[in-house]
Amino acid sequence: MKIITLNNRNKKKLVFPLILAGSFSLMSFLVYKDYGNLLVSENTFVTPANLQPKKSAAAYTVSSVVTAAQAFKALLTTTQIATLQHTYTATLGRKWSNLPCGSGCRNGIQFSTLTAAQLTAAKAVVQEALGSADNQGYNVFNQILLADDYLNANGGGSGYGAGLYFISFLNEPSATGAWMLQVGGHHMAFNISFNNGNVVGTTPVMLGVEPKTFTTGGVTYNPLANKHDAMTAMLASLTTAQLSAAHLTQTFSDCLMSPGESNNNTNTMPAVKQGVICSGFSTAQKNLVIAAIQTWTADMDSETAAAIQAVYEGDIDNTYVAYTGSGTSGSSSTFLTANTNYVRIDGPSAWIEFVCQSGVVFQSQIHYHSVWRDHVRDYGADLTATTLGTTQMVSNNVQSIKLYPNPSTETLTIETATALAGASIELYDAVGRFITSVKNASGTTVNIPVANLAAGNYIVWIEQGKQVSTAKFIKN
Amino acid sequence: MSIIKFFFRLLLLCVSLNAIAHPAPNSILIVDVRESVIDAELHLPIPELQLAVPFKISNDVTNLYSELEKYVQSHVAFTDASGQYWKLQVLTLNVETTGNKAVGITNEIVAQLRLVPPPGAEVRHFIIRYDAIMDKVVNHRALVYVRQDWEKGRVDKNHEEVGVISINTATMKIEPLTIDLKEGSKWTGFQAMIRLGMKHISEGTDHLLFLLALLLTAPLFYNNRRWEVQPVISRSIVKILKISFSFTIGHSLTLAFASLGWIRIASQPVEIIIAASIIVTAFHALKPIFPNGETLVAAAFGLVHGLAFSTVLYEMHLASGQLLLSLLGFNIGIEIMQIIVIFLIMPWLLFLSLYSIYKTIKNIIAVIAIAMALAWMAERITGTEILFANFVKAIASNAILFVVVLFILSLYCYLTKKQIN
Repeated sequence: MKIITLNNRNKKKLVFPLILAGSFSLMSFLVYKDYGNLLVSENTFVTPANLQPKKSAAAYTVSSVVTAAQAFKALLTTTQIATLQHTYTATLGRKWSNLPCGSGCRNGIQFSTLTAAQLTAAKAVVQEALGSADNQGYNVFNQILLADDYLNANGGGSGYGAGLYFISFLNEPSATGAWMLQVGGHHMAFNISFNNGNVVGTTPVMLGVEPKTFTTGGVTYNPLANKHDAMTAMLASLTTAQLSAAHLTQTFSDCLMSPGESNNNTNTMPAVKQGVICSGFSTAQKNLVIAAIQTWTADMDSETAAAIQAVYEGDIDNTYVAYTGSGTSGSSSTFLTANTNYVRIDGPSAWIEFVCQSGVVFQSQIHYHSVWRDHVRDYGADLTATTLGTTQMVSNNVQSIKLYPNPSTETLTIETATALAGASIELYDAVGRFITSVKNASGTTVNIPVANLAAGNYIVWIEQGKQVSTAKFIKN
Repeated sequence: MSIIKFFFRLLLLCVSLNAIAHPAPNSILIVDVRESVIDAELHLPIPELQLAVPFKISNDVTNLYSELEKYVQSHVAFTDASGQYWKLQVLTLNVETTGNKAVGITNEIVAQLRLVPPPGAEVRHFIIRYDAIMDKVVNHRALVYVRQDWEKGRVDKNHEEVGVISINTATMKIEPLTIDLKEGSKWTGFQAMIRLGMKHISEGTDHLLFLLALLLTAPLFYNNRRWEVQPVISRSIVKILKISFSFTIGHSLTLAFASLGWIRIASQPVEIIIAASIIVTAFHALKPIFPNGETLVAAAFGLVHGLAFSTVLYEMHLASGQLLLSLLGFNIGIEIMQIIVIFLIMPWLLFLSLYSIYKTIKNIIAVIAIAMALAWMAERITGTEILFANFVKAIASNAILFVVVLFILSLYCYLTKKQIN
């Protein structure tokens, strides 16, 4: 066997091939570093096919959400938890979006970074917090994820997909403290506020879907059909005169109050109501408005949904309906059919919008955007509210109380049937926050200046000894 | 340049600080702050604009020019603090396409505006009264950016968002947007131009490659139609100096003339000639085709390279005072980076020229340079991306590794080889 000796001549011959080999490996390394991701297949994340909601037998409690949240966190690494959970600030609370903009516009941890077990646990949290009926709550959540996978596979590309959704906790999930659950991504945002063992904020919610109906895995889905149809039924029930009053001359190419940071972060709800007021509606018409609202509130867990629905129903006579586009009274199929067709329900608390937009990926079809906000309860009013409605404020109503004028603008006069002596009168807002008080009230008439109060519903709480009486009024 | 613009517009359309629901795209107002006037670029997405105007908008703008001009004039205005209106001129109106399949492809009306403040008013403080599209489409928004602000050193098209114009939902009114730009200085602008010059040539791999291909011949002398290595370092250094100096003279001349507008040549032929210049000089490093003519060639091709540099300055549309300072600063920046690059590479090449291996190394570098230049040539002639060009881009962006390779080779030679005399 000839042994190859490494003398000067051989070394010289080696140099050139060595340099060649070295440069080639260097080139390949550089190219792979910069362009290696081109070799990896696109987003392969797939949502689970089973959309059947788990019918929970136990009554809903905040602590069940918290238990699920802690069980989810227990499966995460410390780094993941740091991405998932942050301390609540007003800015973070408002950081949500409808765009496919990933982590730039949202808080929390992305689904595609979770293992299968972690993702199941994350979705369990969502399932506990949301409603369980078909085409509501958790079921709508899953359908919208499927729609995004459908967009990914049918022309939208890797900017869409169920893996690009986020879950976020603001503050530590707690059965008694204040925290917020945020879930969202493209065409979806849920921001649920908890405090004091209650849900204290169910909004903002953004739901959209493109395409509005699609078939995948042999099943046809139409996630926002019930919301759309409830709105068109409501509009169709109006008379031509009512439709005229409800019609807006402005154009809406999208919902006005979406998403998180509009209006330079002030995110202020409109102060002026537009459209036609429901106080003049027949009972049947009012019921259709209420039914439309219910298709949004039912996305929350059953107890919360009932509570907030009760608030909105109680407000029906001060709620307005507005819309754009053409449509004929009596014909629901003529409403919400084309780009910029828009409808809004705006009450003292409730704010619901639904709009038709030209498709982005399927440009010959329209698709839907909708937003549910609350003039009083958005973000649980930054987690300071302690209750969702006024149901927690119990009284034994011995006194007969008259409040006028109602609605009030400047001064509220409280008239009691029997004279007060050293009573304490307290004013609370609709979510149970203390506003002001009058100590040592006496006589049958007490005046309270209300000019500086924000518009909305309020409770007057009169306490004399062991007797407590309450009454409600609206500030304009 | 167009790739940067494309990605930026994609970004503006959909992902901004105040993100909006898609696909309703935003309007965009991009402001370039000049010495005494403001140039603004207004982007109005046609689907949204169509909802706000009574006439039909088609992609052929020539028929609609006067209507669109009237629309812009009546919905966009700048005033000074006391409410006096600036003069607004619509310079051009075009239809452009932006976006992609994921976020939607939109056509926009792009208007170039010239805004002149009333006498006595400051250029850097103004109030924008704007309600285009959003007077009818109440959810629409306009994002306002500052793109060029020479006095503050903003010279490399790095946009900064300065505000969002939209309906205040509480009052359903559109509030004017006040812009108060902080004062800058000539010194800040000058410094920024030096930095821009350094950045421009450090990213201009084709320019550096041309220089390198020429400098490869520094330690060589022409003998009988072939290259021979001459090991006298001082002579090599003199040649390096001559070559870089004449390249500097060449590009400084055309940089000045073209920036001042005295010469105007289209960029595509310039880019192609630059690619050709690399091929010519790299080939010359393999087999001498213009022996002892390197200095002249450096000056001659330097003239062409200078034309390429000048596009940066020309596109900034600077007024004469700022332009002269920018010319000086930009050129200084280019020279500084040129010196740095030579100091990084040449010592190792000179050291390697003491060894017989130098010829092989020189040939390999020349061949790689020719390959890269051919890829660029193909791209620049056809105007499309070539797959091989991605390889080239990857190498170019990691060029510092080239210095490391030279260093390792020098070490190898020092330790194992015999110097030639």
